Amino acid sequence: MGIFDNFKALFQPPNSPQQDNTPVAKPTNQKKIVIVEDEKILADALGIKLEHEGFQILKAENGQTGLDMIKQNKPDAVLLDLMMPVMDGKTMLRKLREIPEFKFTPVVVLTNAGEVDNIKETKEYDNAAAFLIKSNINPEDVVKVVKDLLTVHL
Amino acid sequence: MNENKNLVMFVFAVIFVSVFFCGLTLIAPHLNFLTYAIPAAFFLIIILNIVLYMQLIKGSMIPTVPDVQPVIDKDISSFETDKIKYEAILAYIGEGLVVIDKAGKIITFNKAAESLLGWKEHEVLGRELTEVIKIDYASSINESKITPSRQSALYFMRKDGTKFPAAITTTSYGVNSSILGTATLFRDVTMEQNVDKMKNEFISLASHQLRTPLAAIKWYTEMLLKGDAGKLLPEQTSYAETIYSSTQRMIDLVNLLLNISRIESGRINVEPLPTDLKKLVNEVVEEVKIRYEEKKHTYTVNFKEPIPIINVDPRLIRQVYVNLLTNAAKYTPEKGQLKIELSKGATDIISDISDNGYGIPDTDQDKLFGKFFRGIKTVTRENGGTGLGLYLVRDIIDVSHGKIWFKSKEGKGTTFSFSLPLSGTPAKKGVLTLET
Repeated sequence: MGIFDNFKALFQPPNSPQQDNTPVAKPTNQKKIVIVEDEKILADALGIKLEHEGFQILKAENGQTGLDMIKQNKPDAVLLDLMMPVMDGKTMLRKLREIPEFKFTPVVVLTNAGEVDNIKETKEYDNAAAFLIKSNINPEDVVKVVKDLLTVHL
Repeated sequence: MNENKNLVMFVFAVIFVSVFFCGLTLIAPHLNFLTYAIPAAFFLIIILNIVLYMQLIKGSMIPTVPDVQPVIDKDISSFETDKIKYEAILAYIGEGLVVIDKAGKIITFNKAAESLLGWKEHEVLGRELTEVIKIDYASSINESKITPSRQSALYFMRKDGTKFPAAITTTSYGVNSSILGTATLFRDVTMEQNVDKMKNEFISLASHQLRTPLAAIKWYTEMLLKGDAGKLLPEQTSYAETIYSSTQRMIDLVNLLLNISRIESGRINVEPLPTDLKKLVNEVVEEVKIRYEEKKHTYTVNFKEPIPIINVDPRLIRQVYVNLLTNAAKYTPEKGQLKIELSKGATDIISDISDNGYGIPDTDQDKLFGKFFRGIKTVTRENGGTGLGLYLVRDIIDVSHGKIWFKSKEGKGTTFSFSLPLSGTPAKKGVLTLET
């Protein structure tokens, strides 16, 4: 899938395991994920899926609350929408990277097509780990990406 | 008038002859009257004839002046009115009109040209055209659409240095074969451009807005299918699968619309990279193979000569192969034969995609690349079409500086061919890319 090629190109984990059953998160050792997304139904879907996979989920409905939530909870990964009220995803990411502690926190940008058009723009997005186009993926794909990221970061 | 003169002369002649005879009878009563009367009658008739003849000649040769003068007056006045009429038409014609003579000097500059360019007629008459109409080529090139087959506007500079996009028609005029100059008609197409832009923005906005609900339907259906809400019964699974595939179709359509609006807005990024078409074709074949297997088609992929690596935008060209290879499968009844062949010409790489399918009826052939066009028969055969696939293909081939054509016979099959120049596609900076 194109999405995963992009992801790989960005992240380049040479032999990263892509199996669904990679033992990443166990309920006993829960990884925290912050979902910053203003569309509640989409955030809920991702939440349900990731919770089923044993992640702990926190949801924020805009960049500002997202930023506060990340500072407070220090999540293992962040799923970030771009177009949001109050503070958009791009601004939030820039502010997040200004904080040394969160310089390398894996951030997966969820976009609608047209918002991020060129993979070269990654740099503009302060080293986002991946760009996923919402309508072209499934929650399962997001789970895979998150798992991959966290495996490498362990 | 003439008749009156003749009458007077005739009366005189009668009086004269009568007087002559009366005198003669008085002077010489011994002579018999008839002896004189017969020659005299002849004489009279001859005189009369001569007089009438002279009058006839005079009348036919020289028209009398008072009769002709009003006609000339009338001609002159209608010529004047015509002149005024045509000058008024030219002056008030809605489009700007600039006429130059052979030396390139402006001889006509109408009202619309005045208001469009900000110059007054008296300021420009007799001046060089190029001094008055300046073209901003930089803007013209930047703003012009990348698809070469579409008309683009040139940017004209006004007197005050501001500019506007103009649609131009220039024709030369002359008498017989000698050309006397050119007439240029132009108009401001800002409005049209804005409407076009608005249309594209609307499509883009509508598509974006559609995506979130579409993504939600897709995600939740997938979660149902994956058992996130508990295991589904077989019938429930089948319904959910239908929802899923229909949603996917809608998403594909939205993506396609977005891609087209991007290409047409001219804001698309064309990023040529050294591309191995052989590899690309094989990848696409792998991708669409499942469709071929579904319809039990057999297919061959053939590279006639070694295909050199050329500079094209692989994402764009990939889309072309996907669309053409999918179409071939779609519009061929089961157990068809499909053929993909690449060959190297002198200046291009030619790709031929052939099928032995339904073929394209003659009546549909010239409309085939039109937006939203669907052949009447394809509508009943296939549900999945949007009438945008080939339109997008043509757009992509246009921006890649290639050509596309096809041969088809109804009931026999179709071959689509396109060429890509060995010299490659020039890069184009834009802000957008295609959605795949």
